[in-house]
Amino acid sequence: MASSRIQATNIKLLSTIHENFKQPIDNLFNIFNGDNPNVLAGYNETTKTIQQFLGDALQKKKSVRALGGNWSWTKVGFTKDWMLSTLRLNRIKRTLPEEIEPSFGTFESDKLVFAQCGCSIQELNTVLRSLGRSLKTSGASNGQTIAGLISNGTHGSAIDTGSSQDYVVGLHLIVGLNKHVYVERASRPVVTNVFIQKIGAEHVRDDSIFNAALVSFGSFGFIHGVMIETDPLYLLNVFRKQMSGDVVRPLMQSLDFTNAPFLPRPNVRPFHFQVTINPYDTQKGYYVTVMYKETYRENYPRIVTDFNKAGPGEDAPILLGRITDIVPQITPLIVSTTIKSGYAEIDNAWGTHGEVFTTTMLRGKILSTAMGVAVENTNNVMDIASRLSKEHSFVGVFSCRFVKQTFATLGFTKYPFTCIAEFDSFEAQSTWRFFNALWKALDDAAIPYTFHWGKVNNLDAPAVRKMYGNKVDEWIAARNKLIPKEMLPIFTNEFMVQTGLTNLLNA
Amino acid sequence: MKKTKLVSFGFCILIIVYCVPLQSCSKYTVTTTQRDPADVYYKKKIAASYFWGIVNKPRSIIDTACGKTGLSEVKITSNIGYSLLHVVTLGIVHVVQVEWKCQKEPPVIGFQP
Repeated sequence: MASSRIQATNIKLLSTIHENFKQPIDNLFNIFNGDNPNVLAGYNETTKTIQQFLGDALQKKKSVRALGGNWSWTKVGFTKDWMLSTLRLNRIKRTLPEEIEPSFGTFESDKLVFAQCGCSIQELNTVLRSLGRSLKTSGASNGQTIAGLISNGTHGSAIDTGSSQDYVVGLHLIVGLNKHVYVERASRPVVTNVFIQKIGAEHVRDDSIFNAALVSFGSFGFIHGVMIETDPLYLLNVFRKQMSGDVVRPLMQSLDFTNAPFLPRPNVRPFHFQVTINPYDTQKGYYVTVMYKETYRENYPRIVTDFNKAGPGEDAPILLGRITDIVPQITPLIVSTTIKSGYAEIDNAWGTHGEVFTTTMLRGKILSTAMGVAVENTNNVMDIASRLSKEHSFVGVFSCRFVKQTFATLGFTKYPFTCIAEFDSFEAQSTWRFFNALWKALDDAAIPYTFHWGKVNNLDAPAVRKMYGNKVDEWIAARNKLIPKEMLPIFTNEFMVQTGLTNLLNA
Repeated sequence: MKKTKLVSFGFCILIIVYCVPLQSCSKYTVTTTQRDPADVYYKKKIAASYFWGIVNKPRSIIDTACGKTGLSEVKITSNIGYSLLHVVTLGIVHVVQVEWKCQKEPPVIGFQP
C-alpha cells in the first residue's frame, strides 16, 4: 500500500496559469495522498505528511505556500521559498448524522461535505451532482481548487448567495508540526466531537478566527480540508441579450428588479445578474446575462458547446497587444469583433451549475483587474472607465457582477451589495496605462473600492488600511492568536509584508 | 516606388519585426471536456522527425508518472525557427515542441472511517 508522500520537482521558476509573471522559487513540491481506501484514514496520513513538511520548513527557515489551480494573477499566493502543489489532494468525506450538531438543523444527506483542499471545482461539481447536490456558487470557470477558490474570495454573480467563502462552515488548518485545528464559528457550530476525533484536530470555535481565516490566501496555515454547505441539485435557466444601457443602468445601480419588465422574466429578481460592456459600442446596448434558479429535473435541453468553431489562438492576446500598441486606431474594431464572438446571445438555455460554469480554455497572456465597489457607485465607475478606455485605447471589455456582503474579514466583497467591476484585456502597454489611470481616477473621485486579491492590483500597506480600516488589525490579531509564534514566518510571504498584513497598527 | 508606398511598406516591416519574433507560428491543444490536470506546470520535450518521418527522436514520448489516469492535455507548438529549419532542410528536419500535463485521479469519496 502506497503512503502519502511529498516529491520535490526542482522547478525553480513558476508562473501563473495566465503567464503574467514568473516568480523564482527555491522549489516546487508535489504532495500525494496514499492509496488507503478509507477516506479519512488516508486523509489523516496526509495530515501527518504535511506536518512533517512544515517541520522541515521550520528547520530550514523556508516559508511555505500551498498552491491550488494557480489561477490568481497576483503574488498573493506565492512565496520565493517552498511552493506545495495540492492538486492531487482530492478526497471527499460525506457527513453522517452523528458528526453534525443537532442545532445545525434537521440532518440532510450531503448538505455538508468535507472536501480535501485540492478538490477542483470541476470535481466537486461532478461528485455533488452524483449525490443530487450542487455548489451554491463559484467563479465563472471550474479550474480552481476549493481552498484556492475561497482563499482569494472568488465570487461569481449569484446576487443573494454571496461569494464562494460564504458557504464554507469549517476549515481544517495545519498550523504547525504538532498542531492542527478545525475552526468554525462559535455562533454557528456545525460539527460534533465525533467528527473532530476522526480527524484528530483541536476544535476551535471562534467567529473572529474563522471569519479571518476564510479569505487569507494561505497565511492562516495549510488549509487541508474545507467543510462546505451545498444546495440540492438545481438548474439554471440562462439568457444573454443585448439591452439598451438606458434600461439596464438603473438595475446596475440598485439591483431593484421590481420594475424591469424588459427582462426574460419580467420584474423577477434573478439568481445571477451580470452586465458586460463594450466601451467602444454602447449604442447597440449592454450584454446582460441573467439566470433563474429552478428545481432540478431530468428532462431539460442540455447546453451544447460547438468545439469546432474558430476562435482566437493562444498567441492572439500578446500579438494583438503588440499590434494595438503600434496602431491604437484599430482597438475598437478588435474589441467589437472579440466581444461578438465571445458574447453570443443565449435564449432560454438550461444547465446545472457545473454545466453552466464549465471548463474555460485559457488563451495565453491575459490580464484582469477587478475592483469591488458599492453597488450605488457602479455607473460612476463604468462612466469613468468608459472615458479612460478611449483615452488609453484599452483593448478590452468591462464586466459588472454582483454579490451580497461577505462574512470574511478581508473579503473584498465587503459592501452590503458589491459590484465587482472587472476589466479584462491582455498584456499590452495600453492595458497598464488604462489600469493605472483607472485606479488613480477612482482615488481622485473619492469612490471607495477594494481590490480582488487574486487579480492585478497596486496594493500596498496604506491602500489596504484605507480599504479595510480596523478589519486589518482584527485579521492580524486572529492570525497571531491561531498560529504558533515560531510558525508565523513560515506562513508569511512577500505580498503580506508589502501590504502590511503582518503588523498590528499599534503594536 | 512612391514615397507613401515606401512608408507603408516600412511600417508593415516594422510591425512584422516587432510582433513575430516572440510568437510561435502555431500552437494547438488537445484536451477533453473532463480536463482536470494533476500538474501545475507543463512537462516539455522537443520532438524531431528526420528524413521525412523515417526517424523520430524521441521515438515516442512516454510519461511514466501519469499513471492510470493518463493525460489531461497535450500542446503542440511550432515557431518561426522550426519552420525555417523545415523549409531550409527540404523537410529533412521537422521539429515541434510538445507539452503535456497528467490528469488527476478521480477523488476517493466515502463516509467513514
